[in-house]
Amino acid sequence: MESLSQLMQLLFSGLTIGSIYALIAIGFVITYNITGVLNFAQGEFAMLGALLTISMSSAGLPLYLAVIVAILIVMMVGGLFERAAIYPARKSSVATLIIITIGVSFVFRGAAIFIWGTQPHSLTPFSGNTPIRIFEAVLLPQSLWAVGISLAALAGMYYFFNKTYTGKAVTACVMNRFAAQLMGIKPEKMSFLSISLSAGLGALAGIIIAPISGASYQMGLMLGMKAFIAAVIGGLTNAPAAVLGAFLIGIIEAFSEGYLSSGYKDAVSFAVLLLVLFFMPNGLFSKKSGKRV
Amino acid sequence: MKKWVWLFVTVLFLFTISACSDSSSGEGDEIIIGGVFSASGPAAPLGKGEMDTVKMLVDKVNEDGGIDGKKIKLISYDDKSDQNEAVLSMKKLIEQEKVHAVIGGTISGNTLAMIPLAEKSEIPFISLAASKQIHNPDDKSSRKWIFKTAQGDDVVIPKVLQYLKDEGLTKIAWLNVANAYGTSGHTEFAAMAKDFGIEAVVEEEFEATVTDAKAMLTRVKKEKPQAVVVWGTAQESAVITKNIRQIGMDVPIINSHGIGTKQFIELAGAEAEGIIFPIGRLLVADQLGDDDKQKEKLLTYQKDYEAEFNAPPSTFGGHSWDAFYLLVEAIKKADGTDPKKVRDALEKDNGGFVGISGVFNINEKDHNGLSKDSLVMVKIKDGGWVINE
Amino acid sequence: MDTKKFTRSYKLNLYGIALLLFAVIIFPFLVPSNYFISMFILIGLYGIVCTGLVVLMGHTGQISLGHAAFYGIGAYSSAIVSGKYDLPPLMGVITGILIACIVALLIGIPSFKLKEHYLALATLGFGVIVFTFLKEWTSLTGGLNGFFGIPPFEVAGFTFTNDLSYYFIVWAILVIGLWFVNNLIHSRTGRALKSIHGSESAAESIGINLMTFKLKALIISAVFASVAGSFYAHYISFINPQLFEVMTSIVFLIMVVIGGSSSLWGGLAGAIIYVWLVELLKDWVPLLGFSTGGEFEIVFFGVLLVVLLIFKPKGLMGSWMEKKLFLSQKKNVQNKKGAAL
Repeated sequence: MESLSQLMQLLFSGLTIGSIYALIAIGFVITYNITGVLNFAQGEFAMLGALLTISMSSAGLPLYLAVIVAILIVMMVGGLFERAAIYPARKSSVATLIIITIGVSFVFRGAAIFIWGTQPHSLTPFSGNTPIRIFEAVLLPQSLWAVGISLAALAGMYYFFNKTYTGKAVTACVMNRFAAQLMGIKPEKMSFLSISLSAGLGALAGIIIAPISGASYQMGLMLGMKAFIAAVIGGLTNAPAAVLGAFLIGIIEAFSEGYLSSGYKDAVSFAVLLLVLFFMPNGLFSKKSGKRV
Repeated sequence: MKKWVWLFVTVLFLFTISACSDSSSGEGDEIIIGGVFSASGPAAPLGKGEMDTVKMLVDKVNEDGGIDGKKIKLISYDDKSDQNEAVLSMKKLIEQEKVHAVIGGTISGNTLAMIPLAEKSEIPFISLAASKQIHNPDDKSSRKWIFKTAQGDDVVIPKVLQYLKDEGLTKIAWLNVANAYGTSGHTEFAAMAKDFGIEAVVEEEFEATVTDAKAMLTRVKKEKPQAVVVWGTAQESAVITKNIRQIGMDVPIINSHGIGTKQFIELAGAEAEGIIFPIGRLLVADQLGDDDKQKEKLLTYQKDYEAEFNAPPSTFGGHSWDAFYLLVEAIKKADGTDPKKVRDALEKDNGGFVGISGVFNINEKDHNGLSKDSLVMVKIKDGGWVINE
Repeated sequence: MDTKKFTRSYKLNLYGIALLLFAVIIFPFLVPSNYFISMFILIGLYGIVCTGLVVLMGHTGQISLGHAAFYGIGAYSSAIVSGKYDLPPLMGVITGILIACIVALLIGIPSFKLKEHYLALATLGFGVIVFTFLKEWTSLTGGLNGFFGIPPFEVAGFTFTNDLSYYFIVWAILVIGLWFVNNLIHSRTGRALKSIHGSESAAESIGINLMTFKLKALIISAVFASVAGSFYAHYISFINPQLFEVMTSIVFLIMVVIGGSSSLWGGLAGAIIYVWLVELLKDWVPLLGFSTGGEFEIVFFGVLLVVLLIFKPKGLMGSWMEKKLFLSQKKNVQNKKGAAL
């Protein structure tokens, strides 16, 4: 019984954190496929989303409104980032583009210290804090929110990419940029759209995690890195696979923490990354053909 | 293109030269104090308050006419919690700005990297970081010019162990954050626990960026400890503390002195209730008896800091308050800024100095001079702090 | 790519190295203080790492996000060999080189089977794993408390105690390194590496063994990083694992990219600009009226970095060298291809 409850507990923890990684990882995948950029500033959107929500809700805005406004602001920041930094450099080499996104992440982090200071901030959970007990294991309402929202976001993405005109245009751009261009789709516009969309998803992830772990100006780096591993494990070209990768990383982390030692947690997830890279370079869940987003 | 490159390089060079020439003026009629703080980067929650405190105090002393008519000039750098920047800043302060003394080194790593420079140049250096190696190194290398105003783990840990012993909590779980702060606490704990008859039934680490530690804590829970000691700073300790309660452990939780901020109480919410931790008296200054030596200074510092920065001061800021006034006193006694005399005054003439972190008894053997009496055990109650003695 | 241009650039580089040697010797007499000497020791150390990275990045097109790990391997080898076991420091340097070579082989063989982006990811993962080892293997490395009391470097009875001695040895190593790399990139190997950067399949079809050449480049860069790490440890005398985290790898990458990976001089130029800029911002930002601390320096640095790379996507030396050697056209075609991927 005890080992079962521990197992459940580890699973809950893994799924919760996995769902946060998933939201950011989807952003990674979308950005990468449309612009070819590995966006190392992706995690910073989570930080901005979380801190903006905290500021607005402590200024008296109802939580749901604060969340929506924060996401919209971060999406605008994302769009601005694309226009100001990615678009002018879109023809540069991979290394240059990576460094540009890193430069931008410095700017975001510095600006965040300026606005919110260096101390961590807290946000009250979306709905109560009474743990739900299942087999002696504890599940917090906020965890349900986390998993629920990331699944909803995934469904939303699916709908967007497959059922709406704009979404289909983005998908077309990913599959064949040149052909899409011939059909009158502007890749530049899609690049703008994709980055601000990813920014919004990142912001959402940050907002969900804020009540669980608090939020501070430096939270983005770690979240971004983990989501990045998740995206790579999923093959970088496939959003549902990235989500699976994210949950997998979350669960692996929880289990290595629960059965090994937390000190090795990061090393274990990166070791998994290496194994996947070396033995299945197209990602764990790759299909040889078919759509990528 | 070539022209631009050269222009760029030339401009850079000119700026550097100009930047160094303006700073070397005005020697002799000013006391130049250098500061190196980690005001950004991971250690920022500690370093920002330290930097602000020193800036505030320098202005205050200068408004009151300086030291013996000499104004203090503060040159402070932010090392961004990065060791290389700390070393270069120290070098610059000593070689370029010709400072008379240096305050700083928010974190132990940066301090340890700066120590050889201060020793070699024979400049008094008052560190604000905690490691025992700063003033009393294992390898017995020289620390002639180094002083320290923070309670090291060799002071804090016995306080915690004594508390556990008095409460009869002998089988405990030890959890520390996986960084220099946490591991040095753990080293001291492992070395001293036996002397107090305390046994760690389980020892674990957690990341500073931890978001959910319930996985690790289920393992801790299985060992049925009588109390849990969580050694970390505010954000990660709050996560751990919350998680401990969430998985249904209701044993006493003892935290480290790194959680002495309001943020911890906000972050941990209801779960912060009843947490016990050792800390300097600053946090509970208003609850001290009137016979307490430190009370007046603590309240003044609190009032001044709040008036200036609209936020309560932290005990870390208190460390730099102590460093600054120890230095001011020493300069007064040395009758000038001669580094040798200032050092001697710091070592010999500051006995019984009443500061924010405690009462200092610095002497030749102990360049820190704080004992475990400089700490009190504090309990979190109704979202505030009360002395628990 | 005819040999004439290569010989021309080879000679040009040799003049450059001679000029640098001269500058290195007279520099200490020109600067007002030791602070500049120590700044240039750091620049020299970073320059060594980045010159190695130039071989890897500029000549095979591979990106590494894990070179701080090699830097750390060198630093810890020296610290442990000379600090813990009291053996001659030179043995520490050699131990570091050997370990770095072996590790580079282990990481390189599987990595080079992968495409461009994926090497960056593999090295990133490798960097985290090395960091974890340094952090957790406390009996050997001292863990996160750090390793202090590393003795000064010592060779043939001469002990390096002051800044000037470190300055000369570090820059001597850098000059030798540049000379070595200049010979390498103009040798058969160098041309092979360059052709790999141009087109892997074309290189393979003319009988170049991709794996061997890429591994050579990785090993060279790893050795450079390890040597720099060793001297860093001896110079500062205190190290801790956090110095060798992923962020440091990224900083190395930043230096190479702003300097320009296609030029022999890119690594050194990047190191100079990076260190200098960070130090300058410390003086400038307060002049603009912001006195609150490092956050403005970070913001300014980030903005400068982005602006610089938008206008000079191939780095400062990269654009300059290309103009000089009329190689730009071919490069542009390649890069367009890269961006479209």
